[in-house]
Amino acid sequence: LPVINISGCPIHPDWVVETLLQLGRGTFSQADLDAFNRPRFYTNHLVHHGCPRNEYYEYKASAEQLSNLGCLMEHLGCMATQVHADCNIRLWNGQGSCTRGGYPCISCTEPNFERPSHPFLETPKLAGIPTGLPTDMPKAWFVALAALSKAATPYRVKSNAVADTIVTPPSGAKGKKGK
Amino acid sequence: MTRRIVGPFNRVEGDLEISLEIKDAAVQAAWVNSPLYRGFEQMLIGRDPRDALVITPRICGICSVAQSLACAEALADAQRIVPPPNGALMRNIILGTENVADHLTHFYLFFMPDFARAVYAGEPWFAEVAGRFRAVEGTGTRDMLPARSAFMHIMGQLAGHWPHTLGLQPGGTTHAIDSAGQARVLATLATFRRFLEAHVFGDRLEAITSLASADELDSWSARPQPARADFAAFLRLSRALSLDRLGRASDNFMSFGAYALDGKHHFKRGVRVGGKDGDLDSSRISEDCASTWMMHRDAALHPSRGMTVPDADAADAYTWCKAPRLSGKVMEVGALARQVIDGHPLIRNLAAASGGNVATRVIARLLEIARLVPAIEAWTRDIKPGEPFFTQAAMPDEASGSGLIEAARGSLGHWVTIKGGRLANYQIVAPTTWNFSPRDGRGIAGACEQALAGAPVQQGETEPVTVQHIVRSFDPCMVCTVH
Repeated sequence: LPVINISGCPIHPDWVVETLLQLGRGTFSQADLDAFNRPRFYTNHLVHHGCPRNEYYEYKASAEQLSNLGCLMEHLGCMATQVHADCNIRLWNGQGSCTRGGYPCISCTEPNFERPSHPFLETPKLAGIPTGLPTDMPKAWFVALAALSKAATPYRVKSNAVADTIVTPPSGAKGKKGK
Repeated sequence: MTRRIVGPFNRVEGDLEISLEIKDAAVQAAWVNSPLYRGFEQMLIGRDPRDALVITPRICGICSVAQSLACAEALADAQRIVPPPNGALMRNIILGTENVADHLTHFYLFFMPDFARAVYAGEPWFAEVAGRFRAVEGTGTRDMLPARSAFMHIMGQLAGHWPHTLGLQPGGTTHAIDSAGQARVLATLATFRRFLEAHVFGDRLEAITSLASADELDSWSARPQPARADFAAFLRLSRALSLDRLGRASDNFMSFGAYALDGKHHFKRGVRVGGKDGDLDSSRISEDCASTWMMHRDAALHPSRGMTVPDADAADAYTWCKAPRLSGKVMEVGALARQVIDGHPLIRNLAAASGGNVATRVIARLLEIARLVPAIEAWTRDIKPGEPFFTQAAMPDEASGSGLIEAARGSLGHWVTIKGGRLANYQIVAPTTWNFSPRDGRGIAGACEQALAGAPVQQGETEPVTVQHIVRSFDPCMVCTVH
């Protein structure tokens, strides 16, 4: 096996422990490493996966400032759709992640994350469109879908996106009220 | 006269080496060397000011939140903003949680395992203490680590994760909680309190915080329940080894004030110099580089004008650590200094009798755990769901500011200068920079260097155990020291 790179700043303790345990059991091989020799068990996911802000992302309902509930990608520098790690599936200190804590993913599991071309808390844009779009989706499609979904955003999602706590709950549950 | 170098030290965050001059079975003089230079202050220059919130916490994996908060306060000072009350409460909860975890880690994992060394095998208390505190194998680790881990769920809930949160911002905190969130924090705290009361203290936290003198501490620790817990075990061996006569430094204490709320500090800001209380005048802080591998060694500068230009060939230098002074004086910082300055009667009484030493430093840390957990409970209850946690404000193009806070290990300051919308200067003075300072331009030794002078050395010891106790009594964080 080559040197195994467990990337992240910080790294999740499970990433280390589960790698060591697999090595100890003799069940870890080259096939378990990605192109940067990072363990695939955490880099086969994107930080975006499991993010509780996913509905806001779908409708491009964006947070305007830190502490807002909306998606952090459009304005606040969030890289979660492009960054390999299972942060929002595995969770940190029992229940956290960057986006759950109210701040953007800064790509800390990827090479050279410490030198972005823009301030960490700001999304670089070209003609109002974020330059860092999901890597495996044609840009034109993304832009078209974003425009469409923005137009279709429910009031609930739009209003909650720029609030710090839920201001518009989902409308009444289907089914009959008991008497 | 023999000269000996002790180090590297294990169970210390970062790199540390100490040179000792030993004669007549005692340390005559000590030189503390921080052998690792990293350059965080230079990394920041030229960047967007907000990037400092990402970079400075990464100085350290154990005092990360403290670095975050000092940075957030320095930027808030530059922006002339204060967080809303909920944001201030959340900061206190998050910093308090880190500080309690650090104190607990220090006691169980860094400090106590030295008493399980073979050199103590003949002592009457040895079997009990070694069984409880021997590194890795001791039963104490098994009790403490799961309790600490569950306690740190507060960080996951409120700050996203620990270390290296971006949740502490100049305008407050980024994650608003509701009443259910408050209940969850309180439930985590209740579980942790049960661990502290069962294993660490053997009594209610309030019974510890109400102790007012050495006599009260002695009679309390002899009672059956407390006597079976870990604090009393330390007090017994401390008496047996006279740890209160080991490791005295200048007895000049400083605290920047901890846990700000409504313009006041939960633990007071101030100094105690030559046995007298005084106000802190932070304009009188300077950093001297006479013994440091740096350029610009002729002038001791205030950190707002400070410079960090490394020079590995500097003559007569022996460390990367600068020598911070307040009005030219060596200051000791940490839990002991905080509790002395805050005027806690037990610590005042102990310090009046024996000053700052190995015993009082450890007792002050444990007392602080007992004082902080009820404070965190109160701050959590005081949060008003629905009210703001965060204030948005623009970053000025030209500004300067400072953030003076208390980390677990003592006073931490960040000084920032912004020009043309970019960081033009960033200076950090960390707690262990104060405590593990080298000699200054007048040849005055730093706090730990002073504390080591006079330490007894037994025949044939290559790593004198007393030196281990004294060094660890400060709970050094070497990665913060030089940064």
